[in-house]
Amino acid sequence: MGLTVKGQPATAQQLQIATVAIAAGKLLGASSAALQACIYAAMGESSLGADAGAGQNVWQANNPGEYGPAPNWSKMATAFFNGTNDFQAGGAIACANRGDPVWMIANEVEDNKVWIDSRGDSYGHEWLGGQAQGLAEAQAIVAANGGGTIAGTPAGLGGTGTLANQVSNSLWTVGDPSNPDQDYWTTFNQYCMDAQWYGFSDGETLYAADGTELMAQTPQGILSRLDPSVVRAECTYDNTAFMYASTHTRKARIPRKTSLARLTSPTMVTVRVICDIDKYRAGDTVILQLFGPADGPWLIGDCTRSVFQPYSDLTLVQAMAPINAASGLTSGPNYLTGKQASQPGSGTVIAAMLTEAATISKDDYPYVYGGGHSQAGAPSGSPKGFDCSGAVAAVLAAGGLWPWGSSVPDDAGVISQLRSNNFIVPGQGTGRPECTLFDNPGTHIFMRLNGTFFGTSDGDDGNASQPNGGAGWLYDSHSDASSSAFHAYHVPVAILGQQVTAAAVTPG
Amino acid sequence: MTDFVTPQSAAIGSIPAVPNALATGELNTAILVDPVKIQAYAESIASQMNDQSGGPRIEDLSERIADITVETSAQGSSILTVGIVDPLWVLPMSGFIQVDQDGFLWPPVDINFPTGTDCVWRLCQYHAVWDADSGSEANLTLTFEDRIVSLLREMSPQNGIAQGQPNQTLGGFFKQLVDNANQVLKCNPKIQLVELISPGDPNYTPPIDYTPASAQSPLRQNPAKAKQGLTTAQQAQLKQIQQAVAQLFGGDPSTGGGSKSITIRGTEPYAGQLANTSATDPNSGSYVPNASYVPGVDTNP
Repeated sequence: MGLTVKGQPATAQQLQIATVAIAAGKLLGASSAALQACIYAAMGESSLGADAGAGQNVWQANNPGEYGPAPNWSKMATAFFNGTNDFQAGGAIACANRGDPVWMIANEVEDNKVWIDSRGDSYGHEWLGGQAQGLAEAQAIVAANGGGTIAGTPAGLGGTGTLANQVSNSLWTVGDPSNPDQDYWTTFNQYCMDAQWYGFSDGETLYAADGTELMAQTPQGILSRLDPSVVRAECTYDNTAFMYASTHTRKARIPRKTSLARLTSPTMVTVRVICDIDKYRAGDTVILQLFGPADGPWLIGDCTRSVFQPYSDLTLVQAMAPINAASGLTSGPNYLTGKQASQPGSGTVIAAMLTEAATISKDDYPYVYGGGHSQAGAPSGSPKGFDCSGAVAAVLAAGGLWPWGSSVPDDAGVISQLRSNNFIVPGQGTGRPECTLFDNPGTHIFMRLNGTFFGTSDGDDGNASQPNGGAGWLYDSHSDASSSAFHAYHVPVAILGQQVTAAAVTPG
Repeated sequence: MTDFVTPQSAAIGSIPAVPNALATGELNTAILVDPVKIQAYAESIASQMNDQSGGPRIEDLSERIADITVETSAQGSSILTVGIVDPLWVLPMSGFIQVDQDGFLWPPVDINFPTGTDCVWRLCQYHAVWDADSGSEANLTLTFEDRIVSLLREMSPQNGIAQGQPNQTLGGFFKQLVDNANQVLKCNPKIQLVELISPGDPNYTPPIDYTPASAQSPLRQNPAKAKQGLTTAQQAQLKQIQQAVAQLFGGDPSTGGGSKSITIRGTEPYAGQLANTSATDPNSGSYVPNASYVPGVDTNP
């Protein structure tokens, strides 16, 4: 049955008003009762806007001009929730928090005559079925907008507010005490990576998306290898690059480790396709045909197009599963907050590397020639410390890009192996996420993670003995990074965004 | 040594070489790299830059543009790079490119590109090279970042909110950030946030701007994306490919071409199945966590 207002099917505008009002309430943390009261009052005052007239005064506020030019549903609803302007009783949120029933909240916040005179319900008589029908309609509208429960539908479907499975364990913040000036874009990216969402912008619109929903789109195209518009394709599957998480034996089959970490599964598919300049954008999906094991739907991770060429270069990736999306709706409030999710073993490659880099400081790990080489990730020598490639390898190992605990060659050897595994490509990374390695072969190596340099410092302005140097964040490497002596390589974004399993990042 | 022969490899042996479109000229790529069209792009960008730079107009700017490349990314910001031949460094020396007292590129230079879209890019970086041997190559690269990203970079707790609300989902927090930026910066047009988050994700918040559902993915506001799964035309295209594969490899086109191993219940090929898979119960129309229904095939997940 569809949503109704006073027994009549709700119109598009009524639904729009309800959506705006409920969304405004959610941003304020309004409970389901407060949301329902807001809708109940709006139906009582103006039939949810249908009787509001040209002024769009849905809640029949005394001075609608205070809320700006009409329609000003969001601001007026906000005032209803907060009890500001001429709305009374401290607002719907406060009333709901002290346990008032829905009909009472609507009346006391509106402070209408019936309420003032007799503490009665001014609105119930407007429904043929009385107050009960009005409350049921309000409840249904709020539930349809994800703000509560209604009999016969899954608890908390798409909801927010006070439902247990969606209560965050802590406030989302912009920056933190150590970085109080963080900007919104960095915050947006950071939390997207933590949740394993795709946070991106394509010049036109800002998207926060998870892999599940991105892959549910209508594909932008079907690319057959024999299609003349497909002029080049590369597809790499590499068993040696897989990292195994657990062992599982199936009857009559070769015992095989399964639950593969998806770091490089497959490593990469790139397709060059002749098309219009705006035919494909990152975030679209395509279906590959006649590509063997790669047949099927893929997410466009990157798309590059020069107007001087007739083709676009698509980098196709497997979509990440969002963290906890598989946990369902009824699993309780045990999902990870952004900061928890960024811990090694539960986050993305870049998140794990950032976390690892943050735990290494020269106060704890001085520069030790050969340090960190016997087992990647473990400081060594006396005192225990890292040298340049040992420190870089420790961070790479946290991200699953280097086998944890294995031996580490010199810087050139590190680069060589990373390249043979297709973990890095020449050139500096840009934007975020970013991981760039800067290598002066046989001399020195350091890295840059999301714009911040990491490696070993000499600590004493070039002193060869490096008595005060050590591993950690670097603040003086910009000149080296632009020096021609250092060759830059970066980890493709498609890898940085993938999930690292616990087995891949936890020291054995 | 005996050759390793399978029915498939025998069939492959009969496949004629497939030259690509660039080699055969089968596709009229001249349409796609039409010099007139490129010139129009260059003139559009040059005109917009001249109008907004705050410095002297450079009349031959469009002729100096040697490359225009768009790089979109599903993780992070997308960029537009413009390569310019400027051996004398006219742009940086004439005041065409200006910075404020902090060294910040200012005033903002916003470019709409490609023409016909709503994509707007803001100048965020210029990189000039002086090389005596460079000749007529592009030596100045202007990088334009997505305008939305640039605006969000301007916002921080100093001029906006520092934290979200109690009991707020991540989606709700993002919406709060965007709303706050629109309000503080008086954005015109407003930053539009689209959230494509699974309803089963605990971080999900129904966005304000549209009615969310698994069946609606308004990426790029493209009508073709307003629904889930393959379009009728795509289904027909897929069928054509299946039949071609069946001819080459001797398979049954009704079951998806040459490889029965990639069919699901013998009705449709793997790619088509997956592309149409939905977490929405076809019987009730409601979302079912972790379920995968194949339209027309499944009534149970």
